[in-house]
Amino acid sequence: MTNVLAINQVGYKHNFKTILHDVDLTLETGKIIGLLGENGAGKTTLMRLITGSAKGSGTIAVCGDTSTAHHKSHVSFTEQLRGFAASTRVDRVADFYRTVYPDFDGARFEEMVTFLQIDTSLKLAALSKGMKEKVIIALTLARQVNLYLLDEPFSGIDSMSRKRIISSILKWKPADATMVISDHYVSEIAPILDEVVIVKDQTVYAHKESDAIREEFGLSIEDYYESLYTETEGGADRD
Amino acid sequence: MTKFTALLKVMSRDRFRLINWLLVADIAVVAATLLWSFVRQGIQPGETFGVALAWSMVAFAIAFVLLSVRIERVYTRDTYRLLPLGDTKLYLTNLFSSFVMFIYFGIIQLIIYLITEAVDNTYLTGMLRIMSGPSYTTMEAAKICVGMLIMGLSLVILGWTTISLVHLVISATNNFLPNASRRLINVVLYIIVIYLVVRVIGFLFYEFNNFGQLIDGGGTTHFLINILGVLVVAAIEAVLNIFILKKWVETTPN
Repeated sequence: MTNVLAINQVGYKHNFKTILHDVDLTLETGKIIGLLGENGAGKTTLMRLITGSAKGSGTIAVCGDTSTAHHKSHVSFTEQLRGFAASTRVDRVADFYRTVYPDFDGARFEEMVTFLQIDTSLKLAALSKGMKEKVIIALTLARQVNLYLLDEPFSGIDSMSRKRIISSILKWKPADATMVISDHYVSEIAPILDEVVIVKDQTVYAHKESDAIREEFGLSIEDYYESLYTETEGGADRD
Repeated sequence: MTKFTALLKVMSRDRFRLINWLLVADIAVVAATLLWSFVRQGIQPGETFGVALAWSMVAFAIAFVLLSVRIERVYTRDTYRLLPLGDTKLYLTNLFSSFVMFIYFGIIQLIIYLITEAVDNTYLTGMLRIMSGPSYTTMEAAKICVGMLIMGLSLVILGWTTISLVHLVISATNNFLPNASRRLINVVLYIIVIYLVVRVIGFLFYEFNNFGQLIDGGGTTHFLINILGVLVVAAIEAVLNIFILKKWVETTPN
């Protein structure tokens, strides 16, 4: 398998405060990876470093390319649509994506709009938090790229829709693409995860295959993740 | 990768709408002012053009500010910074898009001037009579108009590159300096900006007051050097802006 992402000795400081340090991480193509960690652990920062939205030290290669401008053509990130006025209609936002992203699949977007029951004639200001997240998911997954970064994509979405979306992610993800999902609904996303990456102590604390966690530790992913926090207090090994 | 034409299209769409709203508001204010005059005392000779000219100055200032805001917003929003393209292309397209919209705004204002002037030319002829020092040939008058236009547009570009420089420096320092140092840097920058604004306004008044004399005295070269100077400063600022954008400017986090 080839690597879609190779992070080498990446660090990030904000206002002299270390957010991440010595991050090394390699992700293979075709996987779904859960990026887990408590609030403020640095999950979003790590994603922002990959997209180039945050500036840190070290090297990040996406599909073997270390240039930030080229990263962006391989990565689709759940951005919060802050560049649009609140009065912009959803279909206008989709037009924007269609125009600027050569890899944007309009048919795929329409398919997801139907599935997620999004009214594209609504203005962004009129969308509930959950509905806005659905729009963001549809826009992010409608791009045909190598790496999808979903940063807490299900916050605000009702549990029924959330389960439907999670179960459909496999269908929407291109076979050779990798998807990184950062979320607090660990038990809900666990069944679709191939691997988990845990961000803790300002670095990548653990990176394991989901099956290995179940086989080696006899734990669910959620239990394993939570155990890292309780065990560290007693001094667990880092992997 | 995102093409220049695609980026220009999406950036200009929003700005085009904004400028059109401003034009509608400008025309509405001019109409309301004239209506008020008509009701009170009747429209005086030359008032139609005078009112349109006066309100257009306000509208130009507002257009400059609104387009500046649109330019600056691009640098810190993921919507634009995540696009698959280099920061140089993003920066230049962003600036160019606003510049084109400013020209569009100017052309529509010119049409409004021509219409209101056609209605009644008393104001302009009166103004020219007051202003007339030495008598200009048509060629000299055309040179003055073109010179003033180029100088004005050059200063608009310089204004935007300067605003961006201040914004990007603040944005970059905010990421890595502690709060106390950030405040100090901001104060220093504000002082520099106020100084620059005063100097630019002084330069502007000097140039426009002496433009006729420059033409008479064969000082066209001097004027052109000044325009070139403005554009060189703008180009240096643009290079600095692109460098800062690439190296240090982050987007607003989710």
